[in-house]
Amino acid sequence: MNPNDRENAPNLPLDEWLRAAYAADEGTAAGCPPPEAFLEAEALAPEERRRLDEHAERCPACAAERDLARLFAGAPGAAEVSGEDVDFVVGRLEAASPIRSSGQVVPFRVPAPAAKPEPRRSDRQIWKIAAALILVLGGGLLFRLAQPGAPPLPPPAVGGPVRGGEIEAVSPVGDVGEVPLELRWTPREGARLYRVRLSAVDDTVLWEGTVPAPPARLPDEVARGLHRAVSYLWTVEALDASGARIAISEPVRFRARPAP
Amino acid sequence: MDLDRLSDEELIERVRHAADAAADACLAVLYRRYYPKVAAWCLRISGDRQGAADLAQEVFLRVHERLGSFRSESRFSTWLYTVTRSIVINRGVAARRRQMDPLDEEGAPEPVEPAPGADEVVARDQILSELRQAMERDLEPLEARVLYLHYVDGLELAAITDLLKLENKSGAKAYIVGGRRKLERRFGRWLARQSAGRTPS
Repeated sequence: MNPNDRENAPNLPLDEWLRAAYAADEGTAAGCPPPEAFLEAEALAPEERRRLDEHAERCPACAAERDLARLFAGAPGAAEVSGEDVDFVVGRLEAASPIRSSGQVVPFRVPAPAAKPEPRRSDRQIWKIAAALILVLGGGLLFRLAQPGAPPLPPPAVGGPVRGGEIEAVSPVGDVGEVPLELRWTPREGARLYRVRLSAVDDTVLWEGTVPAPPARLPDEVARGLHRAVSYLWTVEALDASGARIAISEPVRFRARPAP
Repeated sequence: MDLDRLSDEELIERVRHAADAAADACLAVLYRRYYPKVAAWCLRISGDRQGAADLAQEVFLRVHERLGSFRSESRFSTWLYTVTRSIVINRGVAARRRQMDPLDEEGAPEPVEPAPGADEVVARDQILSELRQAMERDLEPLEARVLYLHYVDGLELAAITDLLKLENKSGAKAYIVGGRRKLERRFGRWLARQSAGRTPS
């Protein structure tokens, strides 16, 4: 086909449709586990692992995800790439580490300095103002850094209610015995509705819904799609009569323990 | 203290409570532990060392930015994998959207009647569901895996050929052409008609 005829040809963006077909129920309705489940397969009970493998055998999407996870789980040598290439990439990583003693993130790709024309008079004025701003802001930053150390990251939730944010999440929190069927929190005064969101650890939203009061029962197809030994996050927002948010919980992590 | 002897999770715990310099030392040990693994994975997926280096750098930049959201409920390696996979796949899909796939020209749709039931009055969700079923039922398992890796995960054909150790002459391309033809035979006319109006959301 002549590329010039492309506009007149039937347009079949099969990739768009395939992505839609798999995104519509990724990790939930079709019973597909999240991709990282294949990385955790070793930690599963034999029966869970067998079910995971059987699913992958009949589901091409999960078979492909299992291939990718196995490639990651194996030793670098198992990827069958040249050691020289690995050294090259590692060298780049070492040279551009995101860590600096200040704890700041350093951008990796710094554009090469381009030759600049002599600034015009008005440009010079702008630069003077910019320099003054930098001095003022920099002074403020130095003052801030001179204060006692920044607070450490909060410790991980290990169980029990979480009093993060402004809404107290009750369950599930931390490691739990069974895959949950509902999410519970303490009601918030003045709330007319609660918006609840369940997501995977990479922030992919698995389900979102609104309820007038706790608990929020997970739809069957969502609950069936949750797996043991895999972590999930949930949050709840309280909305007033106008739909405005009046409170929100911290993201709460939970995981159903692997079957004994 | 020999930080190399600590587990990933112990290092993370120290990062949470240590002062800046000590925390950075722990992070350096943790990241270096995974540099070769992520490098090898990115090399295998991207197929060239420059692209792999860019990808791997993006991975660790994202990991560093989002480390505060890691709460030790899963293993660090699992969390790292979700970040790595997400970046690589999003980049692959975006690149595919920017480039015209040469297969779009070669694998031009055949003007064949759709199968009974796959007509335009069927709801979109049902068609998407049937598309999934067709992937599992009508395609060879290997064809379906190759189509998924290419079209959904955005992997290059050469990377799929390597990943699945395909030894036929044209590698993943042959499976793409064959699988596409089967899907287009069944859904082609409906997809073409829908695509003329809107794309799936």
